[in-house]
Amino acid sequence: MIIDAKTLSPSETIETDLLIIGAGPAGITIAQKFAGTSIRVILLESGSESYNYTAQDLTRGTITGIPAEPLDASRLRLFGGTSNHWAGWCRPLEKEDFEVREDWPESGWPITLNDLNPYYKTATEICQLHSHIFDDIKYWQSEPGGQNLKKIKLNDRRLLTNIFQISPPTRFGEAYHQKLKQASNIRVIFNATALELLLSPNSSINSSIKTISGAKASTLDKTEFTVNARVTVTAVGGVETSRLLLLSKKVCPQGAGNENDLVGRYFMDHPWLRSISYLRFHKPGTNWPLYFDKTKIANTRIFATLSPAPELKKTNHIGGFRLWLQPSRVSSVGVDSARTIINDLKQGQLPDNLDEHIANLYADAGTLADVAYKSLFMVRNSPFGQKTDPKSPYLGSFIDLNIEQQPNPNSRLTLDTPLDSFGQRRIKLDWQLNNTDWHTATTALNTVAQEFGRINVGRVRVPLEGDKPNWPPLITSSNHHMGGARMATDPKRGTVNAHCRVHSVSNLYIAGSAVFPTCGYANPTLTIVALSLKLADHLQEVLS
Amino acid sequence: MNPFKYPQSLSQASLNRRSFLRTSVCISLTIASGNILASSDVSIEQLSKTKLISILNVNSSITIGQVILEDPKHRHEFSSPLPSVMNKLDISSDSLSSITRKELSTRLKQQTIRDFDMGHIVNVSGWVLGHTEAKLCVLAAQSSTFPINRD
Repeated sequence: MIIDAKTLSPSETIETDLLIIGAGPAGITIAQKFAGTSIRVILLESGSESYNYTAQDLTRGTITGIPAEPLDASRLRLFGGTSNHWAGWCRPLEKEDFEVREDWPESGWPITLNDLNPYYKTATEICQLHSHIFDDIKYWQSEPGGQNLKKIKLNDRRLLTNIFQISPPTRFGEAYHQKLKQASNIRVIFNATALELLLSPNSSINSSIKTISGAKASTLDKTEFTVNARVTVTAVGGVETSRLLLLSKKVCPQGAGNENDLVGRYFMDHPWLRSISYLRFHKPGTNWPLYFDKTKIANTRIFATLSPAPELKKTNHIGGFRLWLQPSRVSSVGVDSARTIINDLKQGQLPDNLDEHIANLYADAGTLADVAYKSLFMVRNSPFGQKTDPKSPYLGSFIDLNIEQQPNPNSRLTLDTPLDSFGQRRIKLDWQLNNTDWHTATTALNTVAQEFGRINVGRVRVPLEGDKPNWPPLITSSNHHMGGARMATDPKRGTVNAHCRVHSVSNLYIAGSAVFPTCGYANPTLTIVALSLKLADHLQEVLS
Repeated sequence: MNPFKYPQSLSQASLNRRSFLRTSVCISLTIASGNILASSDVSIEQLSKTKLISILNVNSSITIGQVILEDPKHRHEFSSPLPSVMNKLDISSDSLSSITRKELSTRLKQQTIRDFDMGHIVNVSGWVLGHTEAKLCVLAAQSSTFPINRD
């Protein structure tokens, strides 16, 4: 059933077996697994079914270090959580992402890909994908609509073609609304913001292993209530997980689970360099549908990216990455921006977002030079003055790059000084990249330039040079918040164990990407869902 | 202190901007005409250098070569390109006269693919080129005072 916290009595205490805080992909995945069982479940959602500014404002925070997307824009506080603006890119992590690497600090998950594989299969169903098969090109070629899909013949000791499936995308709140509403053992409570976790009266703050009683929560108009639960799961995302733990000082003075000063540390995202490189084709009209188009196979679209072979990572001591191609006819972001500026200037005005247009010109200097040359000498109708013919051949392709960030204790989330509407400290993200991250980015671009040169399809412009990090101004995050409560067998190296249970709290679990010890290059949602399914299985054992 | 430098620290900006744009135009031109090794219409029998250069899109190659020579990073490595190019293309002064321009072009194309495969690449104002083709461009730049045909 679904209720609004406003209907609860002030200071009411709710008793349940399982408390899940956060109704995003992780929380909903776990809750729906318990539908129809004898386990009583409370699922708290800070927002409701529609966007609410007051709830959303709770996500606001400060960012220092490398510029990331604003925290109140990258996450959503409503039923279904951030899946409500999810783009839907899905792919499991690679086998080696789970393994220990001698040259990769803090690498190695306490679980393997094999442990997660059965859950990945179910996760593809939950995310409404066509198949649990990803990289078998023959499989996709045999499906209706997949006949023209071919891999680029690259050296597979350097670059691999890896296929992503795009979820419809699943809006978890909509997709699982009925199932949760109809389950008599589940109560979804909207407008219920968890303020802090509470220590059990039977436990001591000085115990090495504590027990919590549940959480204190509040409606947006400050009516507080308590949920007592045998087991609590926080499923509030890669940023709020650290915040809720750090705010829970009744469990531990440094924050719940923070006995070893690890909560908030090792924050990771996938640094994103948009259109960082440009491949100029020798022959106009080169077309790679698998990489250029999001080919529709049944209800799922698929496309391929280029990622490093394990040997390339090992030899160069780099992380994972993915490069994806965005074909260009003549027009490009730079050309479009130049056209906008020229047209506006002709009318005696400047475009509204001039700084963005100038950034586009800067990022696209190579293509602009090409176009300018053609405008002056070769082409009668300059691209500046005409619209691109959608049937004209591709002349090249922009290359986007996402890299795997190396775990870094100094890349961290902490509580900030400003307070939210509940009087609680907001979050501060200090996103830090290191020399290895830079090396991963430059190696990725040089490798793709090398490979496209080797197969002689054209030449690639690589604007990053040098051994020292010198990130371009257009770098941003991918809204993939990971880490902050990492998983490790040793409590001194991680906040949660292999079952996602907080080491120092016997009945507190964390669901979501906050537990990722390393992040690979794949988008995190499919892994979040798979891990949540695994956690749900474990919780069923614990609670029964 | 915020370690992020904005935006003047972009390495691209630290390059000679004029060279960068110039190279971009030339890369685009040479690539648009087939590839960087595209044959020009010239048909000449002159000096070894001139014959080698004749397989390039000359004007663009000269510009790329000049950009390489202007870059202190590359100047030393690329200062005497002829012996290296002849060696890479498996030709001697004696055999050069009997090799057709088409054969030279084929050898250069194969060598360029090998260069990329072996990672013998050079970043010229952002564009990644194979060593041998880059050396040929330098050769073209050094020989640009010669009365060679320009396409």
